[in-house]
Amino acid sequence: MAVFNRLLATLLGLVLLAVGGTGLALGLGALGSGFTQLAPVPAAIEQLASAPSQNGLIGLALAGLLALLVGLVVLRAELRVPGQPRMADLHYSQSSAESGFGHGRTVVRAGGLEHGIRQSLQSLPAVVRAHAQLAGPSARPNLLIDLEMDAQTQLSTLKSEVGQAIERFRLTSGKQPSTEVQIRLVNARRPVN
Amino acid sequence: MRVFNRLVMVVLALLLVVAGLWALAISIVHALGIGWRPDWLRYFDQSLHQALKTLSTLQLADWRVLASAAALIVLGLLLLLLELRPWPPLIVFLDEDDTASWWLHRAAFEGMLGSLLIKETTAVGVRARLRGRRSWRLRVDAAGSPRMRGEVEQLVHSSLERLGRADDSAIRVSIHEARVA
Repeated sequence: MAVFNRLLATLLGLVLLAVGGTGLALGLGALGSGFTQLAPVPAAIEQLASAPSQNGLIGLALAGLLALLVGLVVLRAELRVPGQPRMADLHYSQSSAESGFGHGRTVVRAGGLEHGIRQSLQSLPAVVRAHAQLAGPSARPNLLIDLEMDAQTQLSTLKSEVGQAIERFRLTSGKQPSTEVQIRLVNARRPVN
Repeated sequence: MRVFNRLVMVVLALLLVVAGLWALAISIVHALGIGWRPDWLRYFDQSLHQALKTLSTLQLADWRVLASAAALIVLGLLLLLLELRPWPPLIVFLDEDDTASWWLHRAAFEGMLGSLLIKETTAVGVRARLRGRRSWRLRVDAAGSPRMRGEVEQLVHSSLERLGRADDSAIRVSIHEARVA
């Protein structure tokens, strides 16, 4: 989205520059003195706006519809929360022959797993704040971890501790996540062991 | 800059939606020959007609047109300069192992390093800039006595060492003489 916005903003800058440059060049007579007498808006457009013809109205309606659609599409894209779609809940089934009891099904909520790993990370001494999100397919979930870490901590220590938390998650869920950890260094005020 | 761009795009999208709704409303009102319309729409119509009339009677050589064109040029150039200059990455690569890939928030690191140097040394006006998504180039500018260079370099080195990036990062420390008030 950032690249798309950057492209659009660049395009907007180019359009502004082109319109302004053309207006200035024509107004100053750089392209011939005849152009300096021209009006910025042709009189025909003003007359059309005052007394629109049927074709003019159809054109206006179509342009309006197009502007409305483009505006809504862009607005929807801009207001959407970035990121991958969240992982669905995990479903485990067991036949009656396996369990020795009746047919069973266990559902593990993705939110519960996220909460578990967040709590696990939050309890680490070097971590000031933790956020975890499970995304992508439930067979091979993507685990996105955002950590606020005390700046005085050795990364190697944190990696080992986070690795243990991820291992606990793997044992609980039976899924090996593809993990990305983003660290934000902060000068923590609480004592760190 | 990313937030600024997003805001600009949201405003543009809202303008498109409003303009689209207005164009649809006007064309329907005219097509159906409805004389009545709300006061705000009537006022808007009158203002638009007035503006079009004024623009159709002005000449391109008029100073108001020239000033508007110059303003558009300035705005366009400003926007292009802001968009086309290289943007520093939001996150930089730290490491990758069996467990995970590790990334660091660049701005938070720069801020932390700056406040650490101010706290631990007598340097003032510290500015740390980290560039390069994978191969880091760290530049630290500070004002103070040239004698504290070693101390600053040591702190920078130890900060990178804690992250395991001391050996493969290009570090440049510049100490300027602090101005005496």
